[in-house]
Amino acid sequence: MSGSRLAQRLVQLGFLALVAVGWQITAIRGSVSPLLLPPPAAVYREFMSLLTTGMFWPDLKITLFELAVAFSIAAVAGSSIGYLVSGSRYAIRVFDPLFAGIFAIPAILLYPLYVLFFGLGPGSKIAIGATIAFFPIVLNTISGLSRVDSAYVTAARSMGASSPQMFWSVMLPAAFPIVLTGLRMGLILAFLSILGAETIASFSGLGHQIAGLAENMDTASMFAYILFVLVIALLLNLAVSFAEARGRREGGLSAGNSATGESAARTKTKIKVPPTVARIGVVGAALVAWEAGARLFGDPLFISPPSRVFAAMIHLAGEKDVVAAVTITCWELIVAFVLSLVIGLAVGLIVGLHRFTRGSIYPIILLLYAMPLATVLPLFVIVFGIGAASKIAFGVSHGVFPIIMAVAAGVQNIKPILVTSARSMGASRRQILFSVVFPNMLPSLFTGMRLGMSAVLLGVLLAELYVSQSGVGYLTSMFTQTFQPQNLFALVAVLAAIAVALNELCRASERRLSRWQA
Amino acid sequence: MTDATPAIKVEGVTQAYGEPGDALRVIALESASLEVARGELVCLIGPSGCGKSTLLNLMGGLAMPTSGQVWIDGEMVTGPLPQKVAFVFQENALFTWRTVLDNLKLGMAFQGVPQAERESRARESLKAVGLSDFANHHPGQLSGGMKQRAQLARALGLRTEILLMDEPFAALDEQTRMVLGEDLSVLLARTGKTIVFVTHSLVEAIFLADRVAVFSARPGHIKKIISVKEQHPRNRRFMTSEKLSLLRNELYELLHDEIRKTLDQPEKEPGLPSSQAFTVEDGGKS
Repeated sequence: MSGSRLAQRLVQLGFLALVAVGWQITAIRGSVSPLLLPPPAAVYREFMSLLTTGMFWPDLKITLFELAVAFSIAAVAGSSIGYLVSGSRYAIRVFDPLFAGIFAIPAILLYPLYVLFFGLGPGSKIAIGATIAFFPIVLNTISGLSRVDSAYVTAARSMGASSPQMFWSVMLPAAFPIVLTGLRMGLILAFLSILGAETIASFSGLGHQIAGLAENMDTASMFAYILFVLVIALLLNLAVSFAEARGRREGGLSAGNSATGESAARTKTKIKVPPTVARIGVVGAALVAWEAGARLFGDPLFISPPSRVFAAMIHLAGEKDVVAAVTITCWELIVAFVLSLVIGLAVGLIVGLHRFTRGSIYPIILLLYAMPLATVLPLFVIVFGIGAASKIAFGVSHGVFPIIMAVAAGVQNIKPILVTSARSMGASRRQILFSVVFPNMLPSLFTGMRLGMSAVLLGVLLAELYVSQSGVGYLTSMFTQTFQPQNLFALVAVLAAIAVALNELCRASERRLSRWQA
Repeated sequence: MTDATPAIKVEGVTQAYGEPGDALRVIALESASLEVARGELVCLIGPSGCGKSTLLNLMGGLAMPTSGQVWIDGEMVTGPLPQKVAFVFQENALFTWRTVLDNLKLGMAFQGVPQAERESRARESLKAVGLSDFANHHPGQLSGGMKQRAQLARALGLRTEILLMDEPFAALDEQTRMVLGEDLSVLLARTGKTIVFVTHSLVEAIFLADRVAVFSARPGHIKKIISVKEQHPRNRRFMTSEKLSLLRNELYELLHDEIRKTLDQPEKEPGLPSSQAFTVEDGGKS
């Protein structure tokens, strides 16, 4: 056992060494221009000089400050709104799907709007970070508090717990692990989106620094900065995992599986309106408030009422440029998604089916996944140009990971008894693979495809927003720069609709597939 | 091969998990020997972790003993024997993504039954366990008792001479398992299969078995074999008979001390090694 573990470590080290050596050799032989790929030694020199001169400090401080403010806003808003919603089962049914639906929309789309409102300073980055971090926090707070094992609640009630006692001593500790996971996801997402926002359009911060260096073709420094951000991301991940493990230990309890959520709801109001109708009502009320606000107080240069957005939408549908842009984006999405699926399936199966690759390669994949991809976006542009290729490649770099992980997990999470029982009936290796392991993996694959789809959307749009001469992302930047809020809103609305539709499509096929899972 | 050849013969079988000398080495089963005649139903009973399930897996070739031999029909066992032995497991081993009927057909495909025969044979076995109306349901839509009947039907559809049942009714409530036990006795009388049945229930063991093999606490070995001389099919009358009560009491006396011993041991049921999870290297062959 320990022998094979040693071999796995060797494979990992070998892989890293191979990358480093291959990199150095290509750089020395000059088969790739040093402008694209500086030798690792040069990157190392730059990295050390960055560290010793402390040049990165101002940017790091800005990025971390933005992160701290954005995360605090999201944590306070998310947990308190989550607490309020979890109070009634009805509110959960109204708001939970609403938040989940909005979460599926790549919020980076809104970044041009945020730039419009908050400018290019820290404000817009804090706002985008807080927006994105809010959703996992609110969703996990709701799910944690509403799914406390009813046995705990019943037991506490039988022992005479008062309402505050119930909350502080039972509900909160029981919900803690799930809430904590939400906070962790929120923090990481805020970090990633702030870096992304800095890369796309900003005056300062680490992401801005990397993008600037890329524009000046100072690739050695750019790589050094990317390395630096990776180290920061790794440290952040470690710190958060450590805090989470500690919190879990102190929370002690893990939430029960027999989650009913019924006894957990605090109020029992009898409302006749079906939750779906109420949900539409909430969205409608928001639209009305927006319309009224925009008409009465809004500056038409910055905000547009929904009615004008709708008119703009119809108008845009007739514009050749816009139709062409949407078509290009859709093609990029499709190609990137198909590539992600093929690569993700292949890698996921290799990693999931072989114990050795699982031990050796999977940790490398997880490490790559934890990387803030936005920071390497300039690199993609340098390598693939500013055409469709870089956008597709960047989309794939986002989309493959959820699919790899879902496939690997789906293959591994098979009940051993199913394999044993197939063996007892004389199934061959091939038969076990095709009739037992693959069908067992399907629901997980579909979940991965759904997550992969929204990730691809995010990647492609980020690339289009960053630098591109076509596609929807390019148009949104243009509408922002030329102060056409009604067009910008209309385009964002269309994209959001596409995102929601794709998400729902995947969800529906997931449901259909898991019909038999009881 | 004559009728005198036992259907199953186990000789001096020992099963240990972990390397010799390892502090964590567990001897699950120690020099067990047992012969099961054709058409006989033998129950294995004993405290948790005494190696009953291990012995069943060894009989069916799902695991290989550390030492000793197992013969089926006079042939030494070296791997799964789908033509001769079918399993029913305690855990739900139905393929959740297939209907009940398709589950039965898949099992036959694994075993190598020609395509044309599968449908009719599957329907026949479903009828035998009274699940004809649920052929097109998915396992998730069935109750616990129905799932176990569906597993039994899948095993019957393989038309093997031997049926190995690993606590098939353990997850069910007592009333359901009594009824399923009666059904099994009727089925046995009709088909004349050889059955080895692992159970924790004293009454179930006496009610079903021709002979009951009583295991000691770990390291498990067969402590005593009790004969139940009663014709199949058995019914309610036997369930409430004094004969059954007396045998049950005898069994309880035999088991009581072993169970006490088990309670003082650390909780550890080795079961099948973890390599049972599917990977390509072992191809599920472990």
